[in-house]
Amino acid sequence: MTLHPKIESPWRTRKAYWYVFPSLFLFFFFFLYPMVYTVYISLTNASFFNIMKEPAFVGLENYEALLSGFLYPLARTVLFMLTSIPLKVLAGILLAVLFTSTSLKAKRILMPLALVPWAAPWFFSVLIWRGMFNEDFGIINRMLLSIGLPSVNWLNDVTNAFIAYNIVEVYLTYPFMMSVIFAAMQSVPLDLYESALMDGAGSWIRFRHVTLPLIKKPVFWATIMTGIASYLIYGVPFLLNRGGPARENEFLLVYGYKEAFDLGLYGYAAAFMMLVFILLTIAIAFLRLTRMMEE
Amino acid sequence: MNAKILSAILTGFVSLIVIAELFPLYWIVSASLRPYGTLYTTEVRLIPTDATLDAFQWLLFESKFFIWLKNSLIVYAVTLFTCLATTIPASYALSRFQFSGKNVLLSSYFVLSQVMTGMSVIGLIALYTLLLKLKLMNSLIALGVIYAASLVPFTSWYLKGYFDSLPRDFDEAALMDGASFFQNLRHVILPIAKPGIAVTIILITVTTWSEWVLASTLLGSENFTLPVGLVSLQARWETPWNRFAAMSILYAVPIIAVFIIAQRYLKAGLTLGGIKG
Repeated sequence: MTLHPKIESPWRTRKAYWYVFPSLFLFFFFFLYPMVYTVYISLTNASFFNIMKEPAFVGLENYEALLSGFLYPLARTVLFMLTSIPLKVLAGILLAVLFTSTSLKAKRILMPLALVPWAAPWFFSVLIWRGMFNEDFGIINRMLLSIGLPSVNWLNDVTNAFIAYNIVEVYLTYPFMMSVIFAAMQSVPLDLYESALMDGAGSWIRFRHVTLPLIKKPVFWATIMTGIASYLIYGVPFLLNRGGPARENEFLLVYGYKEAFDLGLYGYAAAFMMLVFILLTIAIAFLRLTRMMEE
Repeated sequence: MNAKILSAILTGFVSLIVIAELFPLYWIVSASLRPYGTLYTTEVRLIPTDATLDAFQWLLFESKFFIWLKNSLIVYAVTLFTCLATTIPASYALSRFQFSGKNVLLSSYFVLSQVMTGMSVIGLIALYTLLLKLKLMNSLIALGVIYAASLVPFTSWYLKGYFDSLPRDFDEAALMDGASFFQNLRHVILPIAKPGIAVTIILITVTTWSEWVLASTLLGSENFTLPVGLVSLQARWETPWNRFAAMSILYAVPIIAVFIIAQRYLKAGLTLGGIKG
């Protein structure tokens, strides 16, 4: 088509919309429309009791209530992002470097095995971890006991549960990070390494000055993707201990979900979810902006 | 340093990581083979000497496994059909046609496919309310259609990329010979697009088979799918762990097998799509 740009291409036709329309309709009706409807609910006093009737319009009342409710879950989530993102990225880089090394044997067996947490359904893995973290029969505590250490109350303690979330999140996501970084490292030309070796560069210096600059971009993007996943984390804390003990470990989506479906405060929870969404949109817009400025 | 020693250390280290990472799977298999009470003893047994198939007997003859399996399959069939029937034509248009709004749509699909899991939780309150009002709560078919809708961004984006990689000479020739756009899709593109569509089907399978958040909110207990059923099994404290373990294995093994067999073909698509939320 690019050969004859002057000639009107047969593909430039409005018939295209007929092909796109069914999927767009599906997506708009079940996804975008609910997002708009969330805005409407957030402006009402909708709750478990009046949801089938017409909830009353309350203006920005729910958003005012967020001033006190939003801060703790946000702080908790930011803390989780600060711990889990570096852990995930470091684990990914470490494994990618190990799998790229020519000294590593049996790669063909080890590599697919290392990707198993990706293959297993995530909630299935989280439930197994919940069993392993169990205070009484969990294998982790029994191993601690068998080497003479005291058992740990994993899921009923704020800090321990937070550590458990990090462990499980790294377990679930390192295959993704590792694959992205590994793929990027394959594109580093070998002669770059060779010339670095000729200059007598040690392996750390080689990594720092040869590999790192070349894999920076894919690592940056994988970090953003996994960072968004940390911001929107829901399943791991919810399935491990429902964001407990009490309500102390509720990250943004866990808090919003529980306000809606445990407490029936649909209006307030909808306002909460909108704020989560707005912050995410701002972050995504901002990141695209900085990326454009870089290029 | 001696290269052989370095190689042995590295290989040993990575093997240790892999063993640690596979340990949860080993543990759940071991739990499924043991009588209930012994899970509470404090000793660490690596190979169960008291192995029994009690849990699997319960699974096959007394549990709700087959009801939940049937529900999962209904949802899956609806999702697969709805998603492919709508996104194949859309991806064809996104790949071949030129129309305004195309680039905006593609980049929004890309961003959305990255955040879909979280977004479905954000929109869940409204979805729940709408389904209540439409009297569609607790409907497996409605859930299947919702899954299909949430897969639209990723599937369209992935398939569009795949269609782009197919040679255009054939379609140009077909159009010259007077084929309609639809005939071109049906008789020229689809036959050579089978590998890409197969990967798409696998991705849809893996995603719907393990969806739990929406299903647990929108379905009543008689319509549980396998993931919701499994979680509910663990939530009730009296459910023996060996039974939970047995059911979760029967649930997860097929999907892990599919993933590992297809891994070679999947990697590119998954790396780009980041299917895990």
